[in-house]
Amino acid sequence: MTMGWALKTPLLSCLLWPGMVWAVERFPPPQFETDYVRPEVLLAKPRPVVWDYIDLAFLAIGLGTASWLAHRYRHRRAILGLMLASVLYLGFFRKGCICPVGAVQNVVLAIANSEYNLPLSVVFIFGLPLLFALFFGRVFCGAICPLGAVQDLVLLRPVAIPVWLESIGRLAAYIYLGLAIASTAISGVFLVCRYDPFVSAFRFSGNLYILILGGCILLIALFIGRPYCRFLCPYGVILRNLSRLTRRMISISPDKCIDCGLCAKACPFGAIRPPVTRPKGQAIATLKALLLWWVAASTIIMLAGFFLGSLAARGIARLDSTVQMASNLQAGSDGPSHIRDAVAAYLASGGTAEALLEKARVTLARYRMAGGLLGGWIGLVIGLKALGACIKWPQDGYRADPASCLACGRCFAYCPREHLRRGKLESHDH
Amino acid sequence: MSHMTTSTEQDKNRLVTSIRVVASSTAMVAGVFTVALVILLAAEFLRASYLDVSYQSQIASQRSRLHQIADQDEAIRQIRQLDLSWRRSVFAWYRFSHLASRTLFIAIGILILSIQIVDYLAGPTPAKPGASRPPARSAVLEPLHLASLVAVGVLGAVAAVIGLQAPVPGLQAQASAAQPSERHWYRFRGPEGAGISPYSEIPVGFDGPTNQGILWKTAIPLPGHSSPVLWEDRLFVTGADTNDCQVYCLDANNGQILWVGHVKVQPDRLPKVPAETGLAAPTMATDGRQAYAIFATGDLVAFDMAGRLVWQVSLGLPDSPYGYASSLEAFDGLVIVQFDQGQPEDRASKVIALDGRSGKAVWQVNRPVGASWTSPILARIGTAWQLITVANPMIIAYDPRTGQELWRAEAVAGDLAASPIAAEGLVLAVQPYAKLVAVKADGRGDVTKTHVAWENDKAGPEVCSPLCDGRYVYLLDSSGMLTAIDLKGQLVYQQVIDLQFKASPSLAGKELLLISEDGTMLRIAAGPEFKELARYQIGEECTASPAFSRGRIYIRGRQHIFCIATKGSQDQTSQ
Amino acid sequence: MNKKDQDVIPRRSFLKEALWGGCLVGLGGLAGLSIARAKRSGLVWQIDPSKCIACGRCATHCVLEPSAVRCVHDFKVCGYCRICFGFFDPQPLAINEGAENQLCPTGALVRKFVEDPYYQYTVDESLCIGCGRCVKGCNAFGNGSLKLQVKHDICVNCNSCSIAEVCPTGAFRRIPAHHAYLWGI
Repeated sequence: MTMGWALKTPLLSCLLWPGMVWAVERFPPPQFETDYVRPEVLLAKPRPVVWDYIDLAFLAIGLGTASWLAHRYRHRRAILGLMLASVLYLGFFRKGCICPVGAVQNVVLAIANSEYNLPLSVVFIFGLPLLFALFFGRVFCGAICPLGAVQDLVLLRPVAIPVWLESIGRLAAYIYLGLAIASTAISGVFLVCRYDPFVSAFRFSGNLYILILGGCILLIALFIGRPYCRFLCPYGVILRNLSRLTRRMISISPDKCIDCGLCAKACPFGAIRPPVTRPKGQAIATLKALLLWWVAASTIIMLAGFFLGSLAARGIARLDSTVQMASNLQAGSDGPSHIRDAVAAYLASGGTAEALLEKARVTLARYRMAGGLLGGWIGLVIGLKALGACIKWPQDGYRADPASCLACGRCFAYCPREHLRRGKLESHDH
Repeated sequence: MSHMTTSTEQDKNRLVTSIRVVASSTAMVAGVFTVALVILLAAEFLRASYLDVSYQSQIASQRSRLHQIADQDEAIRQIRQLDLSWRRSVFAWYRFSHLASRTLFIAIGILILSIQIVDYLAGPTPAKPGASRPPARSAVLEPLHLASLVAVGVLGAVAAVIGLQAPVPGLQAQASAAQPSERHWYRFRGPEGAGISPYSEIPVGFDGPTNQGILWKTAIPLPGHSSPVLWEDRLFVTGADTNDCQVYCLDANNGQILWVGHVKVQPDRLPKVPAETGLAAPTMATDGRQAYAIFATGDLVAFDMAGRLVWQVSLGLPDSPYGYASSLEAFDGLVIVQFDQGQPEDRASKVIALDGRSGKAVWQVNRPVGASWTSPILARIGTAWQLITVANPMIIAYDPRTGQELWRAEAVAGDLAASPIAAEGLVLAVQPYAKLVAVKADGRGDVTKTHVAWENDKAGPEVCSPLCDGRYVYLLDSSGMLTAIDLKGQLVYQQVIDLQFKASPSLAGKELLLISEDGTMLRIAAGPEFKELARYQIGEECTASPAFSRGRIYIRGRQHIFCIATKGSQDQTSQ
Repeated sequence: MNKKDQDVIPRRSFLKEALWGGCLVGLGGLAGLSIARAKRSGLVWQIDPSKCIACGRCATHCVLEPSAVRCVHDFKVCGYCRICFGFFDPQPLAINEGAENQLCPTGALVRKFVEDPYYQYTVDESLCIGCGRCVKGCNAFGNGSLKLQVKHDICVNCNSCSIAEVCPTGAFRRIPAHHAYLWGI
């Protein structure tokens, strides 16, 4: 924990004195008579670049192994072992940074801001798990992601959450993703990194409030499986939507399901869905009518979302430091101390109030547009969820929803067909 | 066949049981250890933070006092001891947190590992008997799901609309800060320099020596005659000696000195002023974003609210016999200085307006007047603002935005120290030992012959500025004579008070507040008859005029600033 | 699956396949776009001494304790003054190393006599907490040879540096890792 906030004492200001703060050489270089030699100042180099590629290799091999473990080997213990290795290496050794969850922002910044030079390794950190998701599902989440691993390891007695609550919770992740993209593209602020609850644990040190937040989420994770992954992770939003299209879905057992439902109760994340019977006759007509209503309703919801989002943008714009500075300039002396100092430094270096206000107005306009898009997007998501609540594809047997299945491997041990297949049970139908 | 267990199976069972026992006891021990370590870490953190703040503030206060106190050796010893203690506690915390966090990691790791072993050995959780599997879903709608989505949508809409009510502070309001709010006591004698408190609640029944009714009292290190100025919860005042000019910012709620700004006195720019007058006679001005101060050395400084020096300008050493004393004015982002010096024929006097943010001169006007000790006022005459100045021999009004001269009247003479006031379309100026002059303020050009409404020679205070309550003008001599004159120039009453006065009188509600040099505050009813209502002791000599906020009076005494408050206003922050 | 489904499934699977292909192409395109803009070397955080005002937030906002920012001394620029404005309080009681005379709260700046009238000032990094008081003094009254810099053997290179978020002058920026220090310039 840092006690940095306690070190902000008035001592500095008591020693304030006027005068220039920029460096100016006022004293001439000394002429030494003795044979004094100036000491050498050696400054440590940062981590060699090769480590970035070692990490990429770990990621790629890990993802490949995780895919094989989830689809072929199908044993929870092995996945647990890989998860442990990953949390130790990617988490505690590499301090959990840069992670694919944060890499979303780096990529957005690279697209939005031409001055930001995106390191090559970050592109792959962002893209590899998504690529694997298109082929194998959310294998990244189950065995590789250190944030997920931390939550998975503390899971004690999972409590089942009703479907509608789960759906609403996931909406929060969509909103978080939208906010993260907007704030990165417009202000260069990395929201996801700022509020990352677990990275302070990996560093053994961090902001007190974030540590408390992480602790609270872990306490929740004792009973509600992987709350950050399911309800907050912005990268998870992308992963789940790509996983819906995956080539190979994770199957609980390759044999025919006997509808015992044991796997669904074993899954701590509510990812295994009961079968859906086909609609018959009258029901089909109802469904078709519902579809038409849905198109109309969704359009209205999206438009409403667009409008409301641009209104709410004013609140979101407060994330931006230029907006904060301009509002401090106009409103007087309130605001956090670093904003007040920033305004003073800006003015002292010759900046004009008009230029700052103009920049803030431009930023505010951008947030309005971004807010509108975000609102419309959330409207669309709500509409699609409503559609999902009304109309479902027929499904026989209990299946893992590829969007929600985190490939943790717990369900395999509960399926009787799987036991049979592995020779642990005697078959009764010979 | 299944009921008979072989010996190897029995051994295996025993092994499994023993591992399970070991693992579960390890888990419990690790769990208890983790909880204990977390509590210890939290406690150490709180202790270290508290100590850090405590030591640092002690060191800071000791260091700031070091030059003034007599027993320096003792103070040095204390500072060094405190410094050592602080360093010890900080580095001990670093070492402890480093060690404790890694130990915690290991403990939690062992905890999780042992729990997982126990879990694994226990096997998959058996299904609860009789519990049904999640039923098959039909293909039609889930009403609860749909309803919850609608609810979320509505909530989101409400949140967005509420967000509409709370716009980004400051950015939306295009209202320019043309004039500091009439409710802030932002300059000498408050808004328009009238000495009228915007609040009518007056604290009553205080007594300085017994600390009754005194909300706080703070010692100001260096002396000065300047009055305190106030913006919301920030109080500013200056003090100076021959080495150092200082600007103090106090928290108006508790009197704590938040920061001290220093302006070094250049030895070649040290004016010859009597030690009694000092360099810190002019009162500051603030526009809420910055605080401006000027000293008798001619140094004009601007500090921001956090105490950072924004700019500093030297206007040159003013040639002012008793020491430069004109207070500052702030208007529309400008800071305005009445810089009078020398004799009228020297043409060295000027009014300068500088841009508050950059310190660059925006306009400057030379004026045919000599040195004066009055302060300019900014008054609303009709629909426009006028900057009104009084010096020997003219009363001149300027447009505060451009410096263009609006009118002048040659109506006064001598060493003018009482500042003018504007009331009911008249500008009222005082010539010491001589008269009160009323000039109609709606003229243009030289209005000496046309717009002097009346003069009354019954009183001529040489220090205290006049006060008008809308019906009568009150003049206070330093010898204690209070004169009331009506707006037609007729004397209403004269009363001698048995005290000496340097501070200018103020008006709060329907009462005059007078503060004598020996620290007595009098409440006198405003009206056609003299009626003294009460007297209170501040407990210290006082020459500066008070500042007002809701239910509070701030008085600068010789060594302290006092905040006098009514009971109810103890918890007030800003108005 | 019975015959009725055969008609429905191909349409559904075609849609799914198309979307899948689209996502793959999209991902590839995104990757390609990023690679086109990408630079080979990684980025690290560093302080630009020409913008730094030594406000003190480097010591308080780093996620590590003590901060990864430390004071660095450029000996080529130092004037080796007897009364060093980075070492001494602006109004020292005496010219000695007493705590009441020093700016550095932890005593990390070490003063050593070299020859008359020169003194050498070195930074003991194990004690420096990166508060910048010496930097401010040296900039205000000295040669500006003391600078705050991010030490890369300590810094964990967070994706979003907590100090950069609050630096009032924006002196904190990302620079290529192969030229990781911004001093001596």
